[in-house]
Amino acid sequence: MEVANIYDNGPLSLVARIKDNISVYTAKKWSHYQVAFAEPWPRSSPLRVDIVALAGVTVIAANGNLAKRLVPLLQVTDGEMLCVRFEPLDDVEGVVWEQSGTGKFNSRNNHARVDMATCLRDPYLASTTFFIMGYQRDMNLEVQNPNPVALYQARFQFQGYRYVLDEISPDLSSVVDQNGRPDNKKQEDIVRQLAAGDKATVSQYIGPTTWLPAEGR
Amino acid sequence: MSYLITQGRYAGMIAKSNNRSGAAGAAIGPGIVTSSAVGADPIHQIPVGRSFYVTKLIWYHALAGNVLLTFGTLSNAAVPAMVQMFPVQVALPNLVGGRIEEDLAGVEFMLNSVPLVGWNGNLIVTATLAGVIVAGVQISAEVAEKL
Repeated sequence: MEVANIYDNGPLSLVARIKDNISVYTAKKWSHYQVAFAEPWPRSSPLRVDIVALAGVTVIAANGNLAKRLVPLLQVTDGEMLCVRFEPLDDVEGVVWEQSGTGKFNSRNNHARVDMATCLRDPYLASTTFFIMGYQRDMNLEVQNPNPVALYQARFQFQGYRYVLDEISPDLSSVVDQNGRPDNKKQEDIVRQLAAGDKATVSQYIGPTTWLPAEGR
Repeated sequence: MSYLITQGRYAGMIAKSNNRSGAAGAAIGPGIVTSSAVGADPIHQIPVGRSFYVTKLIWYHALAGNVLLTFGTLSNAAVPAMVQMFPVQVALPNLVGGRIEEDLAGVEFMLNSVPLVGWNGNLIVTATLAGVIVAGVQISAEVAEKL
């Protein structure tokens, strides 16, 4: 078992290979998957979005913001997972929301942003890494303009990897009581331990896995 | 000004936005500023929480005589209206002139928000010819923002 080195300061690489297991922390529990397929998302124009245009406005106001909104190019279907890094191409700041109500890169008293200088001290943008898993679990992006003048563009560039995942259903048929009948209580306990991310239980019923702090919700 | 200030230690970022032009800086966004007869024309405004260095200045005019360019930042006090940041530059007529990073002192344009004493940190210019503030001098600036 290992913890993915997704935040190491280097180029983004696969967090797991095909047929590897990953354990993903999302909505305050761990879910376990096997990677069925993975491919890169190279930095390119289709992975670029102008939030000003997306919002249907002409400018982002001086010292203003564009409210958080869904970014269609990052929408996926169930069974898909994106591991993405990003940066603004214009002098604006990006604020990431997991779905529309939960901040990403935040804590009790702050909500960090990604700006044009992020890449100066973090050249591989490791600190901008985030994940999107499945249908209707979309990322929302809010934009802030720190300039005292309105800007006509607020472009963001994304890049990363796309994964196709199969959910792992551990075989608990061997969990039986003294009479050889299914031990429902113990099976439920195992399922609960798997969701809690208990390392010994995961090791026994899932096998080697890579732990991903994919959402942190 | 040291190259290291903008490229190394401070990891500066070149930004050319926020230029203004026309009377009292009415037009926002073009690459050049044309001086007005009012003076104190905004060239570059600092975004929230940042400061900057000027890394290049170029100018041109076709007026009859040498123009004196005073670069500085707006004072929070009524008098003087400007906090001068560089020595006065002489702009000869019909001749493009300028200063590059190595010619300029490493003056950091920074907000000082003390009322009636401080300054707003934005780069402004006033052009004078024979002691009179004149319009029509084109000025383009490049800055390195620190953030």
